[in-house]
Amino acid sequence: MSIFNSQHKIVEIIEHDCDLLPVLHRFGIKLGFGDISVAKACEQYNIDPDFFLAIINVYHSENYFPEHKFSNFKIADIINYLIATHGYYKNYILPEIEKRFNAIIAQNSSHNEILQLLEKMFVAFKNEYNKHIENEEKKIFPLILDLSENKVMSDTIKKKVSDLHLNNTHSQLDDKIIDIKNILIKYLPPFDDANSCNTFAISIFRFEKDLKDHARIEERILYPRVKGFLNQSID
Amino acid sequence: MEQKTVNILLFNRSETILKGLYSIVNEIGIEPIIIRTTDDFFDYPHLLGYILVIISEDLLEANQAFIEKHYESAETIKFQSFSYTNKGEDIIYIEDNSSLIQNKIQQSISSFSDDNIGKQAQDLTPREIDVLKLVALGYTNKEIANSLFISTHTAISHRKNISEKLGIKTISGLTMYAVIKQIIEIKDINTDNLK
Repeated sequence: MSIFNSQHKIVEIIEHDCDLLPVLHRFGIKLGFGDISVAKACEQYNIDPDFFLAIINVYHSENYFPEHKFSNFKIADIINYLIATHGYYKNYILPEIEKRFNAIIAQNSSHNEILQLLEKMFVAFKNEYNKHIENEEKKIFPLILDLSENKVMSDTIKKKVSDLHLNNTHSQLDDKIIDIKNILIKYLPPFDDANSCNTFAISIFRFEKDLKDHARIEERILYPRVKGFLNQSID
Repeated sequence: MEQKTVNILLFNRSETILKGLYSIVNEIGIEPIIIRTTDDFFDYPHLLGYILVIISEDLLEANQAFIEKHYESAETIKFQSFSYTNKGEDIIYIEDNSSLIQNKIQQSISSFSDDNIGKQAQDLTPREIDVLKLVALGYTNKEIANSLFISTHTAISHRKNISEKLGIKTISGLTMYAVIKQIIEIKDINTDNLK
Protein backbone atom coordinates (compact mmCIF):
# COMPACT_ATOMS: atom_id res chain seq x y z
CA MET A 1 0.00 0.00 0.00
CA SER A 2 1.93 2.93 -1.21
CA ILE A 3 0.44 6.29 -0.47
CA PHE A 4 2.24 8.83 -2.65
CA ASN A 5 3.56 12.07 -1.17
CA SER A 6 4.86 15.34 -2.58
CA GLN A 7 8.47 14.14 -2.57
CA HIS A 8 7.74 11.30 -5.01
CA LYS A 9 8.77 11.82 -8.58
CA ILE A 10 5.96 11.74 -11.12
CA VAL A 11 7.87 9.08 -13.01
CA GLU A 12 8.01 6.85 -9.90
CA ILE A 13 4.27 7.14 -9.48
CA ILE A 14 3.65 6.15 -13.09
CA GLU A 15 6.08 3.24 -12.91
CA HIS A 16 4.10 2.04 -9.93
CA ASP A 17 0.68 2.50 -11.50
CA CYS A 18 0.44 3.40 -15.18
CA ASP A 19 -3.36 3.59 -14.96
CA LEU A 20 -2.73 7.01 -13.40
CA LEU A 21 -1.57 8.48 -16.75
CA PRO A 22 -5.03 9.68 -17.79
CA VAL A 23 -5.52 11.10 -14.27
CA LEU A 24 -2.35 13.18 -14.63
CA HIS A 25 -3.58 14.34 -18.00
CA ARG A 26 -6.73 15.70 -16.35
CA PHE A 27 -4.47 18.03 -14.40
CA GLY A 28 -2.73 19.05 -17.64
CA ILE A 29 0.42 17.01 -16.92
CA LYS A 30 1.56 15.18 -20.04
CA LEU A 31 4.20 12.54 -20.84
CA GLY A 32 7.88 13.49 -20.76
CA PHE A 33 7.98 14.10 -17.01
CA GLY A 34 11.78 14.02 -16.62
CA ASP A 35 12.67 13.75 -12.95
CA ILE A 36 10.20 16.29 -11.68
CA SER A 37 8.71 15.71 -8.20
CA VAL A 38 5.04 16.07 -7.34
CA ALA A 39 5.78 19.28 -5.44
CA LYS A 40 7.60 20.83 -8.41
CA ALA A 41 5.04 19.66 -10.95
CA CYS A 42 2.23 21.17 -8.90
CA GLU A 43 4.10 24.45 -8.68
CA GLN A 44 4.77 24.45 -12.41
CA TYR A 45 1.21 23.60 -13.42
CA ASN A 46 -0.38 25.71 -10.70
CA ILE A 47 -2.12 22.83 -8.95
CA ASP A 48 -2.99 22.53 -5.25
CA PRO A 49 -0.60 19.70 -4.24
CA ASP A 50 -2.88 18.39 -1.48
CA PHE A 51 -5.76 18.10 -3.90
CA PHE A 52 -3.53 16.45 -6.51
CA LEU A 53 -2.23 13.88 -4.00
CA ALA A 54 -5.69 13.15 -2.68
CA ILE A 55 -6.97 12.46 -6.19
CA ILE A 56 -4.11 10.19 -7.27
CA ASN A 57 -3.99 8.30 -3.97
CA VAL A 58 -7.72 7.71 -3.92
CA TYR A 59 -7.51 6.52 -7.52
CA HIS A 60 -4.53 4.30 -6.84
CA SER A 61 -5.69 2.64 -3.59
CA GLU A 62 -9.26 1.58 -3.81
CA ASN A 63 -9.80 1.64 -0.05
CA TYR A 64 -7.94 4.84 0.77
CA PHE A 65 -10.46 7.62 1.27
CA PRO A 66 -9.54 10.14 3.98
CA GLU A 67 -12.73 12.20 3.85
CA HIS A 68 -11.69 14.32 6.81
CA LYS A 69 -8.81 15.74 4.75
CA PHE A 70 -11.04 16.78 1.86
CA SER A 71 -12.89 19.70 3.35
CA ASN A 72 -10.39 22.40 2.39
CA PHE A 73 -10.17 21.89 -1.34
CA LYS A 74 -11.35 24.70 -3.59
CA ILE A 75 -14.70 23.94 -5.14
CA ALA A 76 -13.43 25.27 -8.47
CA ASP A 77 -10.51 22.77 -8.38
CA ILE A 78 -12.83 19.87 -7.77
CA ILE A 79 -15.21 20.94 -10.51
CA ASN A 80 -12.41 21.52 -13.02
CA TYR A 81 -11.10 18.05 -12.34
CA LEU A 82 -14.55 16.51 -12.77
CA ILE A 83 -15.10 18.36 -16.04
CA ALA A 84 -11.71 17.19 -17.35
CA THR A 85 -12.74 13.64 -16.44
CA HIS A 86 -16.06 14.04 -18.25
CA GLY A 87 -14.17 15.23 -21.33
CA TYR A 88 -11.98 12.13 -21.20
CA TYR A 89 -15.04 9.85 -21.08
CA LYS A 90 -17.08 11.70 -23.63
CA ASN A 91 -14.44 12.44 -26.23
CA TYR A 92 -12.17 9.47 -25.83
CA ILE A 93 -13.21 6.44 -23.77
CA LEU A 94 -16.86 6.05 -24.76
CA PRO A 95 -16.23 6.45 -28.52
CA GLU A 96 -13.21 4.16 -28.18
CA ILE A 97 -15.25 1.39 -26.53
CA GLU A 98 -17.93 1.75 -29.18
CA LYS A 99 -15.29 1.46 -31.93
CA ARG A 100 -13.94 -1.71 -30.32
CA PHE A 101 -17.45 -3.11 -30.11
CA ASN A 102 -17.92 -2.58 -33.83
CA ALA A 103 -14.55 -4.15 -34.60
CA ILE A 104 -15.42 -7.26 -32.59
CA ILE A 105 -18.79 -7.54 -34.27
CA ALA A 106 -17.08 -7.29 -37.65
CA GLN A 107 -14.48 -9.93 -36.76
CA ASN A 108 -16.71 -12.55 -35.17
CA SER A 109 -19.08 -14.41 -37.40
CA SER A 110 -20.54 -16.52 -34.58
CA HIS A 111 -22.99 -15.15 -32.01
CA ASN A 112 -23.18 -11.87 -33.82
CA GLU A 113 -26.75 -11.22 -32.80
CA ILE A 114 -25.85 -11.38 -29.13
CA LEU A 115 -22.95 -8.98 -29.57
CA GLN A 116 -25.19 -6.57 -31.39
CA LEU A 117 -27.67 -6.66 -28.53
CA LEU A 118 -24.91 -6.03 -26.03
CA GLU A 119 -23.71 -3.12 -28.13
CA LYS A 120 -27.21 -1.74 -28.11
CA MET A 121 -27.14 -1.89 -24.32
CA PHE A 122 -23.80 -0.09 -24.31
CA VAL A 123 -24.98 2.64 -26.69
CA ALA A 124 -28.00 3.19 -24.45
CA PHE A 125 -25.66 3.52 -21.48
CA LYS A 126 -23.45 5.93 -23.43
CA ASN A 127 -26.33 8.19 -24.39
CA GLU A 128 -27.65 8.24 -20.86
CA TYR A 129 -24.19 8.96 -19.48
CA ASN A 130 -23.63 11.81 -21.90
CA LYS A 131 -26.94 13.28 -20.83
CA HIS A 132 -25.92 12.93 -17.19
CA ILE A 133 -22.63 14.74 -17.91
CA GLU A 134 -24.38 17.52 -19.76
CA ASN A 135 -26.85 18.03 -16.95
CA GLU A 136 -24.03 18.27 -14.41
CA GLU A 137 -21.95 20.68 -16.46
CA LYS A 138 -24.75 22.95 -17.60
CA LYS A 139 -26.98 22.94 -14.54
CA ILE A 140 -25.50 21.47 -11.39
CA PHE A 141 -21.88 22.67 -11.45
CA PRO A 142 -22.69 26.33 -12.23
CA LEU A 143 -25.16 26.36 -9.35
CA ILE A 144 -22.58 24.87 -7.00
CA LEU A 145 -20.01 27.45 -8.09
CA ASP A 146 -22.48 30.26 -7.45
CA LEU A 147 -23.22 28.78 -4.09
CA SER A 148 -19.54 28.55 -3.14
CA GLU A 149 -18.68 32.06 -4.29
CA ASN A 150 -21.55 34.12 -3.01
CA LYS A 151 -21.70 34.17 0.71
CA VAL A 152 -25.12 35.73 0.52
CA MET A 153 -27.44 33.66 -1.58
CA SER A 154 -30.89 34.17 -2.87
CA ASP A 155 -33.47 31.72 -1.65
CA THR A 156 -34.12 30.75 -5.25
CA ILE A 157 -30.57 29.40 -5.68
CA LYS A 158 -30.72 27.60 -2.38
CA LYS A 159 -34.01 26.04 -3.33
CA LYS A 160 -32.68 25.03 -6.75
CA VAL A 161 -29.65 23.29 -5.27
CA SER A 162 -31.55 21.46 -2.60
CA ASP A 163 -33.99 20.25 -5.25
CA LEU A 164 -31.21 18.59 -7.23
CA HIS A 165 -31.33 15.15 -5.61
CA LEU A 166 -27.60 14.91 -5.85
CA ASN A 167 -27.05 11.30 -4.91
CA ASN A 168 -29.41 9.30 -7.04
CA THR A 169 -28.23 8.93 -10.59
CA HIS A 170 -24.77 7.39 -10.32
CA SER A 171 -25.60 4.06 -8.81
CA GLN A 172 -28.14 3.24 -11.53
CA LEU A 173 -25.70 4.22 -14.26
CA ASP A 174 -22.94 2.23 -12.61
CA ASP A 175 -25.23 -0.83 -12.42
CA LYS A 176 -25.52 -0.75 -16.20
CA ILE A 177 -21.82 -0.80 -16.90
CA ILE A 178 -21.25 -3.45 -14.19
CA ASP A 179 -23.89 -5.62 -15.87
CA ILE A 180 -22.21 -5.20 -19.26
CA LYS A 181 -18.91 -6.19 -17.68
CA ASN A 182 -20.36 -9.25 -15.92
CA ILE A 183 -22.17 -10.44 -19.05
CA LEU A 184 -18.96 -10.05 -21.02
CA ILE A 185 -16.75 -12.00 -18.64
CA LYS A 186 -19.21 -14.52 -17.21
CA TYR A 187 -21.91 -15.33 -19.70
CA LEU A 188 -20.94 -14.61 -23.31
CA PRO A 189 -20.44 -17.65 -25.50
CA PRO A 190 -16.84 -18.11 -26.73
CA PHE A 191 -15.82 -15.97 -29.71
CA ASP A 192 -13.54 -16.53 -32.68
CA ASP A 193 -11.15 -13.75 -31.87
CA ALA A 194 -10.31 -14.13 -28.18
CA ASN A 195 -7.53 -11.52 -28.20
CA SER A 196 -9.67 -8.64 -29.33
CA CYS A 197 -12.40 -9.70 -26.91
CA ASN A 198 -9.90 -9.68 -24.05
CA THR A 199 -8.58 -6.23 -24.96
CA PHE A 200 -12.16 -5.09 -25.07
CA ALA A 201 -12.95 -6.61 -21.67
CA ILE A 202 -9.90 -4.89 -20.18
CA SER A 203 -11.03 -1.52 -21.47
CA ILE A 204 -14.48 -2.04 -19.91
CA PHE A 205 -12.81 -3.01 -16.61
CA ARG A 206 -10.70 0.14 -16.58
CA PHE A 207 -13.63 2.31 -17.47
CA GLU A 208 -15.77 0.82 -14.72
CA LYS A 209 -13.03 1.43 -12.15
CA ASP A 210 -12.60 5.00 -13.37
CA LEU A 211 -16.33 5.64 -13.16
CA LYS A 212 -16.51 4.29 -9.63
CA ASP A 213 -13.71 6.62 -8.62
CA HIS A 214 -15.37 9.55 -10.36
CA ALA A 215 -18.68 8.90 -8.61
CA ARG A 216 -16.91 8.70 -5.25
CA ILE A 217 -15.33 12.11 -5.79
CA GLU A 218 -18.66 13.66 -6.69
CA GLU A 219 -20.69 11.97 -4.00
CA ARG A 220 -18.25 11.95 -1.13
CA ILE A 221 -16.16 15.09 -1.71
CA LEU A 222 -18.20 17.57 -3.72
CA TYR A 223 -21.77 16.94 -2.56
CA PRO A 224 -21.04 16.93 1.19
CA ARG A 225 -19.45 20.36 0.68
CA VAL A 226 -22.56 21.56 -1.10
CA LYS A 227 -24.70 20.31 1.77
CA GLY A 228 -22.35 22.12 4.13
CA PHE A 229 -22.87 25.40 2.26
CA LEU A 230 -26.60 24.95 2.37
CA ASN A 231 -26.61 24.31 6.10
CA GLN A 232 -24.32 27.29 6.70
CA SER A 233 -26.60 29.58 4.81
CA ILE A 234 -29.55 28.47 6.90
CA ASP A 235 -27.76 29.34 10.16
CA MET B 1 -22.69 -14.21 -6.56
CA GLU B 2 -19.73 -11.88 -6.41
CA GLN B 3 -16.58 -13.07 -4.69
CA LYS B 4 -16.16 -11.10 -1.44
CA THR B 5 -12.98 -9.10 -1.01
CA VAL B 6 -10.62 -9.92 1.81
CA ASN B 7 -9.00 -6.86 3.38
CA ILE B 8 -6.06 -7.34 5.70
CA LEU B 9 -5.17 -4.55 8.11
CA LEU B 10 -1.89 -4.52 10.01
CA PHE B 11 -2.11 -2.55 13.23
CA ASN B 12 1.15 -2.25 15.10
CA ARG B 13 3.31 0.51 16.57
CA SER B 14 6.57 -1.02 15.40
CA GLU B 15 7.64 0.07 11.93
CA THR B 16 9.93 -2.96 11.65
CA ILE B 17 7.13 -5.41 12.38
CA LEU B 18 4.78 -3.59 10.01
CA LYS B 19 7.36 -3.81 7.21
CA GLY B 20 7.92 -7.50 7.85
CA LEU B 21 4.24 -8.41 8.03
CA TYR B 22 3.56 -6.27 4.98
CA SER B 23 5.93 -8.25 2.80
CA ILE B 24 4.75 -11.60 4.19
CA VAL B 25 1.09 -10.77 3.53
CA ASN B 26 1.96 -9.40 0.12
CA GLU B 27 3.35 -12.81 -0.86
CA ILE B 28 -0.10 -14.32 -0.27
CA GLY B 29 -1.34 -11.99 -2.98
CA ILE B 30 -3.15 -9.46 -0.81
CA GLU B 31 -1.89 -5.92 -0.40
CA PRO B 32 -2.41 -5.14 3.28
CA ILE B 33 -3.33 -1.76 4.73
CA ILE B 34 -0.92 -0.38 7.29
CA ILE B 35 -2.36 1.21 10.43
CA ARG B 36 0.03 2.98 12.78
CA THR B 37 -2.41 4.89 14.95
CA THR B 38 -6.17 4.75 15.49
CA ASP B 39 -6.48 7.88 13.34
CA ASP B 40 -5.32 5.93 10.31
CA PHE B 41 -8.58 3.97 10.30
CA PHE B 42 -10.31 7.15 9.17
CA ASP B 43 -8.24 7.10 5.96
CA TYR B 44 -10.02 3.84 5.09
CA PRO B 45 -13.62 4.51 6.00
CA HIS B 46 -15.50 2.19 3.66
CA LEU B 47 -14.08 -1.32 3.72
CA LEU B 48 -16.57 -4.01 2.76
CA GLY B 49 -16.38 -7.79 2.48
CA TYR B 50 -14.17 -9.63 4.92
CA ILE B 51 -11.74 -7.83 7.19
CA LEU B 52 -8.86 -9.47 9.00
CA VAL B 53 -7.14 -7.20 11.51
CA ILE B 54 -3.70 -8.42 12.52
CA ILE B 55 -3.22 -6.46 15.68
CA SER B 56 -0.52 -6.18 18.28
CA GLU B 57 -1.90 -7.93 21.39
CA ASP B 58 -1.46 -4.87 23.60
CA LEU B 59 -3.69 -2.84 21.24
CA LEU B 60 -6.50 -5.35 20.92
CA GLU B 61 -8.54 -4.72 24.03
CA ALA B 62 -8.56 -0.95 23.76
CA ASN B 63 -9.43 -0.91 20.02
CA GLN B 64 -11.57 -3.92 19.20
CA ALA B 65 -14.92 -2.28 19.90
CA PHE B 66 -13.98 0.86 17.98
CA ILE B 67 -12.80 -1.12 14.93
CA GLU B 68 -15.94 -3.24 14.88
CA LYS B 69 -18.10 -0.12 15.01
CA HIS B 70 -15.99 1.64 12.37
CA TYR B 71 -16.46 -1.22 9.91
CA GLU B 72 -19.99 -2.19 10.85
CA SER B 73 -21.05 -2.51 7.20
CA ALA B 74 -18.42 -5.15 6.49
CA GLU B 75 -19.50 -8.77 6.14
CA THR B 76 -17.26 -10.22 8.89
CA ILE B 77 -14.40 -8.82 10.97
CA LYS B 78 -11.82 -11.08 12.55
CA PHE B 79 -8.94 -10.22 14.80
CA GLN B 80 -5.66 -12.09 14.82
CA SER B 81 -3.25 -11.20 17.60
CA PHE B 82 0.40 -10.50 17.11
CA SER B 83 2.31 -11.40 20.24
CA TYR B 84 5.79 -10.90 21.68
CA THR B 85 5.23 -13.41 24.46
CA ASN B 86 2.54 -15.98 23.65
CA LYS B 87 2.75 -18.88 21.26
CA GLY B 88 -0.56 -20.19 20.00
CA GLU B 89 -2.28 -21.78 17.04
CA ASP B 90 -3.99 -18.60 15.79
CA ILE B 91 -1.62 -16.12 17.35
CA ILE B 92 1.23 -14.78 15.27
CA TYR B 93 4.30 -15.02 17.48
CA ILE B 94 7.30 -12.73 17.03
CA GLU B 95 9.66 -15.65 16.41
CA ASP B 96 7.44 -17.47 13.86
CA ASN B 97 9.06 -17.87 10.47
CA SER B 98 7.38 -16.40 7.41
CA SER B 99 5.82 -19.59 6.07
CA LEU B 100 4.28 -20.35 9.46
CA ILE B 101 2.86 -16.83 9.59
CA GLN B 102 1.48 -17.26 6.08
CA ASN B 103 -0.20 -20.51 7.11
CA LYS B 104 -1.81 -18.89 10.11
CA ILE B 105 -3.09 -16.01 8.03
CA GLN B 106 -4.33 -18.33 5.26
CA GLN B 107 -6.26 -20.26 7.89
CA SER B 108 -7.97 -17.11 9.14
CA ILE B 109 -8.83 -16.18 5.56
CA SER B 110 -10.29 -19.59 4.73
CA SER B 111 -12.41 -19.52 7.87
CA PHE B 112 -14.21 -16.51 6.37
CA SER B 113 -15.66 -18.61 3.59
CA ASP B 114 -16.51 -21.52 5.94
CA ASP B 115 -18.83 -19.09 7.65
CA ASN B 116 -20.63 -18.48 4.39
CA ILE B 117 -20.81 -21.89 2.81
CA GLY B 118 -24.58 -21.67 2.44
CA LYS B 119 -24.28 -18.53 0.36
CA GLN B 120 -22.37 -20.01 -2.59
CA ALA B 121 -23.65 -19.19 -6.06
CA GLN B 122 -26.28 -21.63 -7.30
CA ASP B 123 -28.17 -22.20 -10.51
CA LEU B 124 -31.49 -20.50 -10.97
CA THR B 125 -34.52 -22.50 -9.81
CA PRO B 126 -37.25 -23.32 -12.38
CA ARG B 127 -39.45 -20.69 -10.72
CA GLU B 128 -36.74 -18.07 -10.99
CA ILE B 129 -36.35 -18.93 -14.68
CA ASP B 130 -40.11 -18.32 -15.13
CA VAL B 131 -39.72 -14.92 -13.47
CA LEU B 132 -36.62 -14.06 -15.48
CA LYS B 133 -38.42 -14.88 -18.71
CA LEU B 134 -41.20 -12.43 -17.90
CA VAL B 135 -38.73 -9.75 -16.83
CA ALA B 136 -37.05 -10.10 -20.22
CA LEU B 137 -40.40 -9.83 -21.96
CA GLY B 138 -40.87 -6.46 -20.28
CA TYR B 139 -43.40 -7.39 -17.58
CA THR B 140 -43.64 -5.27 -14.44
CA ASN B 141 -43.46 -6.90 -11.01
CA LYS B 142 -47.22 -6.70 -10.71
CA GLU B 143 -47.76 -8.31 -14.11
CA ILE B 144 -45.30 -11.05 -13.23
CA ALA B 145 -47.15 -11.69 -9.99
CA ASN B 146 -50.48 -11.91 -11.81
CA SER B 147 -49.30 -14.29 -14.52
CA LEU B 148 -47.58 -16.64 -12.10
CA PHE B 149 -50.31 -16.45 -9.43
CA ILE B 150 -47.91 -15.24 -6.76
CA SER B 151 -47.88 -12.07 -4.66
CA THR B 152 -45.99 -8.98 -5.86
CA HIS B 153 -43.84 -9.36 -2.79
CA THR B 154 -42.82 -12.88 -3.85
CA ALA B 155 -42.12 -11.69 -7.39
CA ILE B 156 -39.83 -8.96 -6.08
CA SER B 157 -38.07 -11.42 -3.82
CA HIS B 158 -37.48 -13.79 -6.78
CA ARG B 159 -35.99 -10.92 -8.77
CA LYS B 160 -33.70 -10.01 -5.94
CA ASN B 161 -32.44 -13.59 -5.70
CA ILE B 162 -31.93 -13.78 -9.46
CA SER B 163 -29.82 -10.60 -9.44
CA GLU B 164 -27.79 -11.85 -6.54
CA LYS B 165 -27.08 -15.21 -8.14
CA LEU B 166 -26.18 -13.80 -11.55
CA GLY B 167 -24.46 -10.56 -10.52
CA ILE B 168 -26.79 -8.71 -12.93
CA LYS B 169 -29.13 -5.98 -11.69
CA THR B 170 -30.64 -4.03 -14.57
CA ILE B 171 -33.55 -5.12 -16.74
CA SER B 172 -31.41 -4.77 -19.86
CA GLY B 173 -28.72 -6.97 -18.30
CA LEU B 174 -31.25 -9.63 -17.28
CA THR B 175 -32.73 -9.56 -20.77
CA MET B 176 -29.27 -10.09 -22.30
CA TYR B 177 -28.69 -13.04 -19.98
CA ALA B 178 -32.03 -14.62 -20.89
CA VAL B 179 -31.16 -14.36 -24.59
CA ILE B 180 -27.66 -15.79 -24.15
CA LYS B 181 -28.97 -18.74 -22.15
CA GLN B 182 -31.78 -19.23 -24.69
CA ILE B 183 -34.45 -18.74 -22.04
CA ILE B 184 -36.16 -16.51 -24.58
CA GLU B 185 -35.58 -15.81 -28.26
CA ILE B 186 -34.22 -12.55 -29.56
CA LYS B 187 -37.35 -11.96 -31.62
CA ASP B 188 -39.51 -12.08 -28.48
CA ILE B 189 -37.74 -9.47 -26.43
CA ASN B 190 -38.89 -5.97 -26.01
CA THR B 191 -35.92 -4.04 -27.44
CA ASP B 192 -36.88 -1.05 -25.34
CA ASN B 193 -35.69 -3.19 -22.45
CA LEU B 194 -32.12 -2.70 -23.59
CA LYS B 195 -32.28 1.02 -22.95
